[in-house]
Amino acid sequence: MNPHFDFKIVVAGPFAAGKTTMIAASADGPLVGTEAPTSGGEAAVKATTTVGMEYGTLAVASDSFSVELNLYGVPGQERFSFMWDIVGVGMDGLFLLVDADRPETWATSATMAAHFGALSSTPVVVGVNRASTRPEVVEQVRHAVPVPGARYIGFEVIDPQDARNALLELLLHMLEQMNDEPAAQTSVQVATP
Amino acid sequence: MTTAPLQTDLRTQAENALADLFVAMPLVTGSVLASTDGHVIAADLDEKRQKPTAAMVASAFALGGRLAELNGSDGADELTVRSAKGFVLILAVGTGAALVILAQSGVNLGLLNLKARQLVQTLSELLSVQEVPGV
Ligand SMILES: Nc1nc2c(ncn2[C@@H]2O[C@H](COP(=O)(O)OP(=O)(O)OP(=O)(O)O)[C@@H](O)[C@H]2O)c(=O)[nH]1
Ligand SMILES: [Mg+2]
Repeated sequence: MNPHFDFKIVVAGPFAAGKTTMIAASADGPLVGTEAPTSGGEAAVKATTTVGMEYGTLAVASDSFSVELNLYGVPGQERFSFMWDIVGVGMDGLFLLVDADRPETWATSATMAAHFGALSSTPVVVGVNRASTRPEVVEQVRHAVPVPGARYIGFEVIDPQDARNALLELLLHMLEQMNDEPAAQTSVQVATP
Repeated sequence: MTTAPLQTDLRTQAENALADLFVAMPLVTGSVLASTDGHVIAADLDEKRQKPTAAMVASAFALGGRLAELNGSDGADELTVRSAKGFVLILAVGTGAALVILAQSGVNLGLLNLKARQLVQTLSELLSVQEVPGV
């Protein structure tokens, strides 16, 4: 029987970066979410915002193992940063979203990377939304949002295939890191198939 | 900033209503009326605790709503956190806001629940006069 791994991935990023859209597009079933109607200035950007967390799963199988990715989305606004600390406990990988079209939010992406980096030194993939055909923007983000050891990709959160591939990139990053650092393997739970 | 979309006089009325509870129940230590997206609408609590309290109430209330779905309900009407030092009551106010009341242990819970419901009624009437934009 192939070994089975359960991983916890946190999807972070500023307000309206596309975290909920990405998890909804990539997860196998419906999400458990906590959307609330926006008010004030945020209402001009979109109708609802994540105020607690959201959860969905994505099953991944290969010839040699099967994996369940447990996807956790967090709120983007600083006022909900206590949820970053709560949801960040025990994460195995961080997917950090950057919105290619709103450079004014890039500094917030960097702040969130630092916040989660202080919680744990898990592998990070920086996903630049709306940049699947714009490698030059991904390069700009690489400099504007520097995350040590992170991989950078351009993709579209709204596209299920794209969103899943982006998460697979993070999974590969995590598996490679496990091979490099055998000690990390002890934190992985091998479930009975 | 997006705090306090309520008109000033309505905010004052809401805060007067919150203060009335504080006066009537000595073991009540504070209260905040928060929008469901985590902004302060009105508060009777020291300034620096208002914003974090409103955000936590929004998160907890949303998660409480998901828990209520386990029973087939659409959302939560009420959450209670009982701890060594007292109670945190969270009550829905209309569809776009929630009231949190902090009380020390020893408080008369029956009376508090009664007064909290009256307060919710008052606050939802105030909110319906000028519905919070976007809510
Ligand atoms: N067309 C298009 N729309 C996108 C894309 N990415 C995001 N959007 C839209 O941008 C908005 C992003 O919203 P959410 O997914 O709620 O963003 P979020 O990061 O979860 O936001 P908060 O939880 O409020 O911080 C939605 O209206 C999406 O439809 C994209 O690649 N293409
Ligand atoms: Mg969201």
